[in-house]
Order: sequence, then C-alpha cells, then structure tokens
Amino acid sequence: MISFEEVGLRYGTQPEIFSGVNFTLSQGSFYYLSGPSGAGKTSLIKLSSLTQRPTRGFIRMFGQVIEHHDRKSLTSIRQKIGIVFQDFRLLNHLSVFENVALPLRIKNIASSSIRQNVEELLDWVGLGNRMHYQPLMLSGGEQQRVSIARAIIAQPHLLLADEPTGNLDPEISEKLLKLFTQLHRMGTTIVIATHNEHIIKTHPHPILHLDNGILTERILPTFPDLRLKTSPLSDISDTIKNL
Amino acid sequence: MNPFLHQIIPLKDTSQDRILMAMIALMMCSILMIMASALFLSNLSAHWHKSVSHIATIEIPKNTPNKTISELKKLLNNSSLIKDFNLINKDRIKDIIAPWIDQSVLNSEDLPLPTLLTVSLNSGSPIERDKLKFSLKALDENIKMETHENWLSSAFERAQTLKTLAWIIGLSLTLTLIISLSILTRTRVLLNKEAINLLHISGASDAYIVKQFLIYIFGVAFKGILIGCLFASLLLLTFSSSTTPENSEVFTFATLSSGHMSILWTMPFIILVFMLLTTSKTVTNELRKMV
Ligand SMILES: Nc1ncnc2c1ncn2[C@@H]1O[C@H](COP(=O)(O)OP(=O)(O)O)[C@@H](O)[C@H]1O
Ligand SMILES: [Mg+2]
Repeated sequence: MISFEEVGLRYGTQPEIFSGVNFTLSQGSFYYLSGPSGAGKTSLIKLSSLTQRPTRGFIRMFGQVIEHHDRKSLTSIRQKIGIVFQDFRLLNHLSVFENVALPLRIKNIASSSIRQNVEELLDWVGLGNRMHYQPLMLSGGEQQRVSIARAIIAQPHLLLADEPTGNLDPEISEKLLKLFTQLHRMGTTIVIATHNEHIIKTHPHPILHLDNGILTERILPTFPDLRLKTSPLSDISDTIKNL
Repeated sequence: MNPFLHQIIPLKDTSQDRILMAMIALMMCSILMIMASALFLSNLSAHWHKSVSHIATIEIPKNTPNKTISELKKLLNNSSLIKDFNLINKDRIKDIIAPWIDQSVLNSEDLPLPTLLTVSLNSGSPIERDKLKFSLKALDENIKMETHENWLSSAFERAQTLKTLAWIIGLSLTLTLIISLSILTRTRVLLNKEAINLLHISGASDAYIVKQFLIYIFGVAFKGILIGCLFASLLLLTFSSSTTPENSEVFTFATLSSGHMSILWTMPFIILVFMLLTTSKTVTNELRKMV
C-alpha cells in the first residue's frame, strides 16, 4: 500500500527531519504514528498524502512509484486517500455541507447521491443541524468533525489523520475511534498521528514512533498475544518485501 | 446539474468583476469601432475605384477647327474603350469657374471657354488608355484627356495606410486585453492558492480546476463583450445617421456590406474564444508549478 525507501526531507536549508526512512504498510493495516511534538509526524503525513515532495528517496503507493511530474497518476492516487489535517483546512466561504461534499463533487457524483451521503454522514458526526453553517461559525471540535467527515465521505483506500482527536472531548473521540475501526474492518488502511495515550491503550494497534528522524515500530506490551518489536522498520519492510 | 452552483474556488469578487467587465466592454467597443472604420475605409476606396476609374474628361480648346472636332467624334465613336460621351453644358462650366472670374468677363462672348466632354470608359488595360490618349494627341496637340488615375492612386494609398493603421490599433487592443486577462488570472490563482491546493490534494485534476476558472471568466467576459457590442452598435448607428448629408452620395457605416458586417460581428466570438484559451493556458501553467 505505502512504502518509503530511504526517504529524506529537509525544509529549505534546515537539517534533514528524516534521514533515510524505510517502512512498508500493507493494505488493511491500522497504525498509530506517535512521537514528540516537532518530531515530524505532520511532515510524514504530508509525504504520504503526496502534498510534500521528499528531498530524496522513493515513495511507492498502490504499487506505483510516485513521480510528482506525472500529474494524471498523482490525481488518481490522491482520490484514493482521505486526509484529516491538523489545521482542518476547511474552505470558509463554503457551507459545512459543501465542504464535506467536495471529494464527491470532484468525482462528479450525482447531486442527489451527494445530498443523501453527506446528510447521513453529517448526522452521524452530530452536525446534522449545522449543515448550512459556515466553518467559522463552528467551534474547533465541530470544525474538526467536518474535516473528518470530508476525509471519509468518498470511502478512501487509505485514511491519514493528523491528530484527529486533538480538539475533541473524550466521548466524541471514542465515537470517532469506533468509526475508524469500522472503516478498518471494511478494508481501509488507516494511519493516525496522535499523542492520545488513552486512545492508543483502549484501541490497540501497532505504533510507528518517530524520534530524532528515526522511525521505529512498537507494539504495546499490554497485549501479550502480540510480539514486541523495537527493531528499525527497515528490517520489517525487508521481510514484507520477501513475502 | 448547474455548474455555477459548484464553484468551489471563490473567484467571484463583485467589485473587481465589475471593473473587469467594464474593461472588457470598453476594449470590445473600441475594437469594433476601429474594425468598422477599417472596413468602411476599404469600402470607400473600393467605391472610388469603381465610380471614378471609369470616368475621364476630354478638354477641347475653344478655337479647334470643326474638321478636327468631327474627326474626334468619329474616333470616340469607333474606340472600343469608350462606352459613352457627353458634352458638358457651357452654363455648367461657367458655374464652376464663376468664383474666380469677374462677372462681366464671364458673360462676354470672348471668354475662351473650352469644350468639355465627360467620357465613360469600358474597363480596359492601361495600355489601351495610353493608345487612346496618343491618338487624341495625334489629332490635335491641344486636346487633352484626363483619367483621374494619379489622383485616384494617391487617395487609394492614403485610404490603404489608414486601413492598415486601424488594423494595427485593433490588434494592439486585442493583445492588451489578452495580456491583462492573463495577468489578472494569474493573480486570481495566487489569491486562491489554498483552495486550489486543497482541491489538488483531494484528487482534483488540473482540468477540473481550469474549468472552474473558465466558468468564471466566461461569465464575466460574456457580459462584458455583450455590453461592448451593444455600445458599438449604438455608436455606429449614431454615426450612420449623423454623417449622412442630404442628397449626396452616402458613405456611412450603414453601407457596410453583409460580408463586412459578418466579419465585424464574428470578432466578439473570436475574442471570447481567445480569452478562454488565455485563461486555460495561464491557469494550467500556474497549476504545473504547484504540488
Ligand atoms: N513548512 C515548513 N517549513 C519549515 N519547517 C517546517 C515546515 N513544516 C514543519 N517544519 C519543521 O519540521 C519539524 C517537524 O514538524 P512537524 O512535521 O509539524 O512535526 P509534528 O507534527 O510531529 O509536530 C519541525 O521542526 C518544524 O518546525
Ligand atoms: Mg503535527
């Protein structure tokens, strides 16, 4: 599904944030991305969502090496990815409804079908009565739910979420994780960047941990049925490649 | 499905759109007026050519012997180049020269008025005309034929220069319009970078984004062009009626042929297409620079 090969990234003339990251996520997996603030979680999500070009290395997605100049295939890959941005990135001149409908509009889905799907999802995230509001009239948590709804409306193959519970109260966070679990069961590959220890404990999944530009995979020891791994991911990606 | 409803990029900006529309209307109106003038000039020179090139004047001095005159008549009757000829009335000649000559002299019989003939010519080669002039001269040194060719060619040249100038101005205006539109479009792309980025990230193709710009530009440009055409029509109508002097041969914009009219009124469509092409090209170029 996604694999990084010796991927490096630097902003301007600053030192590299990642120095040769290697990992492979197989289809249908569910990962948390953890690490201290400033470790590069958002940057990794940006690389995976093809919104940031790596300064070196290769990124392979859906079996295709990403070539940023091949705009046609970029477009088709992006349509398979849903992203929840840390800063929401809602379009403030559009209604909540239109913000959520955006990925469907791009795919030229019929209006009647859009209406039904969007209304249903907005009801589900508890914003059914805010449909015609503009994003700036909503609280941070509500805006976040809009951005989550937009990310999942088109049933992406890969869902990348950057601190999706950052502005949500525990009850809605719990509900959100249930939604993610549901999507995961339906076959969506999920990567969630989060600080939220409570969520990681209550919904256990393997963790990609970023620190000092090095990515390691961890599985929480509270689940003895899973083997503990602290080895660098490059080893794992090799085993996966050899399968 | 109404595509205007799903304008995702906020391109509409009522006050700026009005300025843009006014600019397009003004340019369109000027371009049409200039084109109409150019077409009018070419009409006019063609008309001169047609009406004057077939007329010549033959001047016979007062004391020419009758024998020469009858021979001249025979010559004119037999020449294939000459369709018809008429004597110009003595009183008419007097009228023409009256402002320059004293009344008493004018009325005296001694005034050496020449006999003037207007001749209408069949279209023939310049060589045939020279032949005719030559035989007239052989008949009598003093008989002169004036074919207006010199005067005509200089007037024609002048009209041609004006026409070229009009085309150049028209083209420059069109170019100015296209360049301003390109600059404006680029500004709009940069202003809406965030929305465009989001569309890209969400999997919108460049074509999808270009379409949003095209719909917007079409809306503004179409209205602007329509207003420009309306104003141009009004101006042309006004000129046609005010420049028509009584009982004279009329050359006005109203005399433009239907062929010329269709050239004139296809211009707005051509310019609209150029504007859309420019928008598409500019946006595509800008999008290529983005993620
Ligand atoms: N657009 C940018 N330009 C320059 N530096 C950036 C940019 N984005 C992130 N950084 C830097 O990269 C590092 C990683 O940031 P980020 O990926 O946002 O980390 P995290 O999401 O884990 O907090 C930080 O030091 C940050 O200052
Ligand atoms: Mg971050």
